[in-house]
Amino acid sequence: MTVVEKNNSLTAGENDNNLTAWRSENDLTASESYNSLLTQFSFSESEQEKLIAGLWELLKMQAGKYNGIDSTSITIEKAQDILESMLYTIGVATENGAAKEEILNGSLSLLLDRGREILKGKQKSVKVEWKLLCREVPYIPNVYFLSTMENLGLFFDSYDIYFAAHHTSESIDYWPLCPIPETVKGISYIEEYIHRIQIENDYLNCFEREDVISLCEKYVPDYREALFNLCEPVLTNAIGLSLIGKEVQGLHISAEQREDIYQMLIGRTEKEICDMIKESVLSACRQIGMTAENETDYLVGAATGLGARIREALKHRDLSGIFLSFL
Amino acid sequence: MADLPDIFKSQMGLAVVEAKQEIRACNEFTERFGLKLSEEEITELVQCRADALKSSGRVEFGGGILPKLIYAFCDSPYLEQDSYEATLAQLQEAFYYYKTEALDFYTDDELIEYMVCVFNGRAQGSAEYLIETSLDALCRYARDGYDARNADKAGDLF
Repeated sequence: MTVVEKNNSLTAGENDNNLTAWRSENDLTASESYNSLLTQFSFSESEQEKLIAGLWELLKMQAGKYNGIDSTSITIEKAQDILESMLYTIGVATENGAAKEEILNGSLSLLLDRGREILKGKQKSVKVEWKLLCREVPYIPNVYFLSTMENLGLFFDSYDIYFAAHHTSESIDYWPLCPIPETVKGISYIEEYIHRIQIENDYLNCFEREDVISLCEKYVPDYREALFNLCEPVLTNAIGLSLIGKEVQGLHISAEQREDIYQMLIGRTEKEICDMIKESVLSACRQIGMTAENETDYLVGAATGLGARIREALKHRDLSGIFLSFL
Repeated sequence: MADLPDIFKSQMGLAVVEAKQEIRACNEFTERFGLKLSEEEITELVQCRADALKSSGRVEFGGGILPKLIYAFCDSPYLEQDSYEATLAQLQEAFYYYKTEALDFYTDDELIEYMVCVFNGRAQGSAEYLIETSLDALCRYARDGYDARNADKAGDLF
């Protein structure tokens, strides 16, 4: 059993707890967008009827545009898709200050146009962020990592703001430490993805490339072809070294150091261990010069699942599957 | 299969009224061919339309395809008053079914034109022949493509 397999078996079911820390308050499913509109503006019953009639007319118009003039019907899946795209785009417009009166008395199609303009702007700015991300990608020869960084650019050419604004890229094979909730859609998903990967790349870039590669190779012998998060073993070893007050830059944890970590953690509750991990992440970040709050918050969120894994490993008096030696 | 949200139920009800009005208006034109739909038959056809849309996984925003089908088929020598409503119901169901089966490759008018051509031609007024043989072949070619120069594989198309 490889280290990844061991860790996967230990972390199963813990991911949800791990992720909630990084979940945005604004995450919404497209199908929930309608209900969100209702609650956001607390429409009365008559106002709701007006809204529904407006949405129906807009859907009719959009379906007509999608079909061209020569087709009166459309598949339910496509109509559903267009409706979700509309609601997502209108949701973007309302997030950016559209008032209740505009939704009811103004034209919904104008609101849709405004949402599209915002999305177009966002598409351009996120593309710039992707280019910046590509410039600082740590060259770790993992096929999933490198191809995802490259193929992410294809999304910007194929993104359909008009009929599928809520769709995301299909070419993402490499997942960040904290997966993005499925409720985040469209260009917002790509933006969030780039932000998370940027933090992870910044973190990886703080260490020597050779050390990162050696550690990854220890973590998964076939690290070039395997699907795993490159930042995970690096973050874990840095936490281990920080726990016992050592320099994190080297990343290597010797057997003696592992024993020190064991002595430090044995007998502690999971909550105490989680608190220590949090402190260690922050301390490690200070050591390598990562002090931005959003970055440290993300890494703390990503490390919270480690507590349960360590508790399990402590029972067997074996931390060798968590804190790795590679020299 | 995904359903459109229940929030549009009342709008779908309005579409039924619109559909009935459009079909009723066709009677004026088709009477010259000895074809007329009663109110009961209109209601039945509109209900059939809802069923056909549901079973073919489609949604329609206007009055429906029936007026187009009526105008296209009313001058067929094979249509009789006795079987008028039943044939229209069959054609309507087939239309929506094959529209989806052909992956929306054909426009409404193209599909109707083909249906009329086969119905009045080699099908000799048999809706069953049209649906089971010709439309099936048409949709297969829409999905897979065909070689216009290969008569052996052309099946019922040419």
